[in-house]
Amino acid sequence: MRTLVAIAWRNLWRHKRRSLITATAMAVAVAMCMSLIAFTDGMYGKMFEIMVGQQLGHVQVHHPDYPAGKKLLDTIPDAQATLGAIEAAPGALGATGRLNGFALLGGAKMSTGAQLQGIEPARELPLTHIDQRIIEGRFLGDEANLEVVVGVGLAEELDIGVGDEVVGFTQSADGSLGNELYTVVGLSSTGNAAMDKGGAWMHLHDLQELLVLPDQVHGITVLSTDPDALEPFVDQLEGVVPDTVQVQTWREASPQTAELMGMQSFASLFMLGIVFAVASFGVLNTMMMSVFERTRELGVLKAIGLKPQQMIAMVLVESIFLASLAGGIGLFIGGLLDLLVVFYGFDMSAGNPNGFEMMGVRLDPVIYGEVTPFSLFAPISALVVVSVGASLWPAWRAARLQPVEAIRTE
Amino acid sequence: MRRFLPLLLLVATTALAGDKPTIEELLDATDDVNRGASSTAVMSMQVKTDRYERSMKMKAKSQGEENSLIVILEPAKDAGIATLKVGDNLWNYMPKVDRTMKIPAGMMSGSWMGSHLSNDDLVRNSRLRDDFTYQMVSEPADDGTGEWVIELVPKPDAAVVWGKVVVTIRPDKVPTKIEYFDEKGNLVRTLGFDRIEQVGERQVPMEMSVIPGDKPDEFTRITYDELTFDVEHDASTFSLQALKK
Amino acid sequence: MWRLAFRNLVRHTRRTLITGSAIAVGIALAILMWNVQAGLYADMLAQAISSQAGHVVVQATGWQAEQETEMLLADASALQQRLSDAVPDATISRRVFAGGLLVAPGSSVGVGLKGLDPAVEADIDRFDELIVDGTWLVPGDDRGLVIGRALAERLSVEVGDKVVFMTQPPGSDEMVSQLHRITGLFHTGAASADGSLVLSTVEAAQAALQAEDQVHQLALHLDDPDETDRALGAVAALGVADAEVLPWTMAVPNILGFIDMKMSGTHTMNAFLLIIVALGIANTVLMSALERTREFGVLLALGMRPGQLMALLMAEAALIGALGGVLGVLLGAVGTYPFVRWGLDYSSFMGESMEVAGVITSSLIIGTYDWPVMVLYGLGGVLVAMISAVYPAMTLRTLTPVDAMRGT
Repeated sequence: MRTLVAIAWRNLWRHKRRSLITATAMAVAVAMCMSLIAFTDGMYGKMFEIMVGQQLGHVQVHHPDYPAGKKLLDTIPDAQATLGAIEAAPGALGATGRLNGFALLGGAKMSTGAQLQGIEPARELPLTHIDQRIIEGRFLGDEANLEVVVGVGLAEELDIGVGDEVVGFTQSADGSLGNELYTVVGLSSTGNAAMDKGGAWMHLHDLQELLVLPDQVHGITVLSTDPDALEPFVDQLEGVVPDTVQVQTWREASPQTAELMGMQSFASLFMLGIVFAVASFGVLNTMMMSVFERTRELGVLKAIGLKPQQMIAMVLVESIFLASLAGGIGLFIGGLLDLLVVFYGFDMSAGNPNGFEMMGVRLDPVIYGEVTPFSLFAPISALVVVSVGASLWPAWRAARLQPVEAIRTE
Repeated sequence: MRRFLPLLLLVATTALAGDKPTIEELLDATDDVNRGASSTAVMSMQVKTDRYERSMKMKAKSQGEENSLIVILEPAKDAGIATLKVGDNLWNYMPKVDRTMKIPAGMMSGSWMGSHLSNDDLVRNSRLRDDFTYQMVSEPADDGTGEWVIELVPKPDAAVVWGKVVVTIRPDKVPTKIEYFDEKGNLVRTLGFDRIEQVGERQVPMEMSVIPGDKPDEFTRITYDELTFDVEHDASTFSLQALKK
Repeated sequence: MWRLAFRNLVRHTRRTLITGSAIAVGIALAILMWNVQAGLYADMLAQAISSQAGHVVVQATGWQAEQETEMLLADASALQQRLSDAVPDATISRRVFAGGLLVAPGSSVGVGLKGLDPAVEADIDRFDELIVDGTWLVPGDDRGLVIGRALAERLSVEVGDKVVFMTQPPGSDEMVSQLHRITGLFHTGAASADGSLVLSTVEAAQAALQAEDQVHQLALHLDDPDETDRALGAVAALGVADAEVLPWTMAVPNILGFIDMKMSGTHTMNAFLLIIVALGIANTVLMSALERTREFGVLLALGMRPGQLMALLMAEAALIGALGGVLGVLLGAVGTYPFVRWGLDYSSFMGESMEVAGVITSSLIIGTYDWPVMVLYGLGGVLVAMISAVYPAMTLRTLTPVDAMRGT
């Protein structure tokens, strides 16, 4: 066996140029796939981050009727205590409570209906980092100070800016008429299209007061240290929350999002398929040639006793070596490209200075890549599979050679 | 019957002597008595929903069907909040923040002051006689018992969402009940009038209730504690500046 | 020389075929990728143009930026006639927009009303295909209303029910109420449209705004988008007062930017694909050149100059490239067929339609035969082949007959 390997290795180097050219072709394929996948992963990763990280969370806790009807009174009682219990549970990365309401919001010139969301910056920011999506002014302070952060679209509609006052007027949970004056401290573009166009954030306590829902929230968003093992985590949480409340994973809470993420894997696999289909031709080409031009030599080998299986093995080992070489080069180039895409990003702002919107999520025009084990190993694996696959036929042909005829070939 | 507020403030019938009134006269009376009339009133409103129960006290001034100003007196939390209606425009004033907000058309669906009435109930315009075809279903007997029941069906072109409206009127020509049905025959709303008393020259129901058809346990009940007609209002009463007082 | 090149290729049939097919497959895949994407984006663009604008739009000055209800074009029918005379082959649609309240017996919701010409819009847009219950608007039925299914559920109404639309006309203090009956329900998958877009005839919207014979937008739709400039010129020449005349590139600039970006991404990827092909066949080409060294030596000895030899090699490459190119285009066309006929169906993920960059497109992505690009890629095959042949050709420059005939 060792001899075979040695022979295979030397065969490769006897035709240095040819081997290098083929290796380069495959290396480019690998590098290309690596960076394209990193790019797509980055884009979908961002969407995922916004949809799951910001909005859904890994696990959601809410009143069982709330998602369907979004009724003001379907709340989680004893919010502070519940939040504390959840945060203390092992496996919890963090939890944040949110209260939702609808109010008439008025600036100096215009008023319109707006979605309000009350959050606790101290809990919310470490988890969702929405303070990084402020495009003017600043985010809410940790204390309830009658401040609001308004979505850019809403600010435009009301013709207000940072430093302006807005009046909020709504019907509170007890039927009374909540009204209060707030100061705009920031404008945001979070990626949540609905909020950016018609919503505003305020401190949880401020909204609780406006709506007369003391110590209550509509939903608790929980992030887990282990997003891949959410079921046991959910079980645990069910033990610490009030009985009237429901705990769900994000997939249960939003099946459409789960399906969307499925599309991402599909896209990557599709790309891999196309690129390697093309590359495989190169390999096939080369291996065929390599076998044909050595017909005489192979005939000799057979004549001196090389068994068909060994012949096949030899050809396959050759192509594995080639693949490894190509893989190495490809990883190197791909790695460089990945670094570029991850740190420098891919700038698509030429046509879309404001970014663009897909499925209700607003994406920035500069997309940063994301490197996952899949993007590193899948192209390499595809390479090996393609190389071996493409050499099978030539190997088989080689094995079937009749020594005498082979030697007689010119 | 769309203008609940003026209706609420000034429902009365003309006191006709003798002859049986025609349907048109009854409908006009029900609809339209407050033309040119102005009033001041103090009202209590009680709202019961499956979520909460609330009592409010309000002071109201009105001028015909065009202008009205309602200021909340109690409870303390909402005291001073006011609604100004001038023509088809509505504004809210909130003393706590000292701000006025116009209610945009798109927000008219919101409930007025937490009751079963909505903002657009205050501004919708339609007339029973013009927008409906009607027929008398029953009349009071000669001995004065029983009541008029008139069934109204909106004309094909009328901007009215109801399928059918049924008005019940006492022998002394004061309406006691108005029922609103959608086109499929479901009772959507019932308006009730009770405690008919004499105020000035008119017969006025001092209590009006709104009951949603699908939740008969809920209601909004508006009661007059005081009511005066033919009051002179300043020209400036129905203005945004006046709101702030 | 071409004949010689051709015969050489025929002589080494197997090699020619292998190389040619490698090129063909690469081109075919590149074409496939392109055609499917092109189909999607062509659709998106057409949708955006037809529903949000037209190839050329005529609007009151400032409408593009502000979209205020009072920005109306007066004497719309006269204007429409003038436009029709100026650009006879265009289909002209009118649009009127009004915000207000839609009232049902049980509840009411704030909505955006869009008044349009039902027959015209059915031709140019796809909304009539998104009707899930009832029917599309009937021309002349000013009472008809088409709303989103989500909105209908929220209002607890069905097809055939009465609703009232209330709005405040610009410059008026009064509220206008209008009776409507629900003709049909649509479902687009875009939450904003499904929950708050309401469609009626132009006349109904005009009545609500008390804006007789006025519209917000007159949009010209052309069969051939390339005619846009000509149409634009014709309309601009009319000199309509107080109006802005815009081509679609300015009326829906975001879509264009988005599509351009996506398409150049695809081109880039396909370029890489072809590079891989070039590398893949480089060996074959090189090998064949080396193998034929002796043959080249004979040719040189017979008086062919090295330059001519190089040209011969390039010619052969060009022919292989052409062969691969033609095959590739054909293969690509065949591969595209299933996508054109049946499409790529995302509807199990997305529902019937989806919203991308603000445009509602069908979840069924239909490919298209983008011949100009297909031919371009085919020619790319020739280029690829020739690039692969450059290096081998260069080595021939210094070949002497003696070395050559001695063989390698």
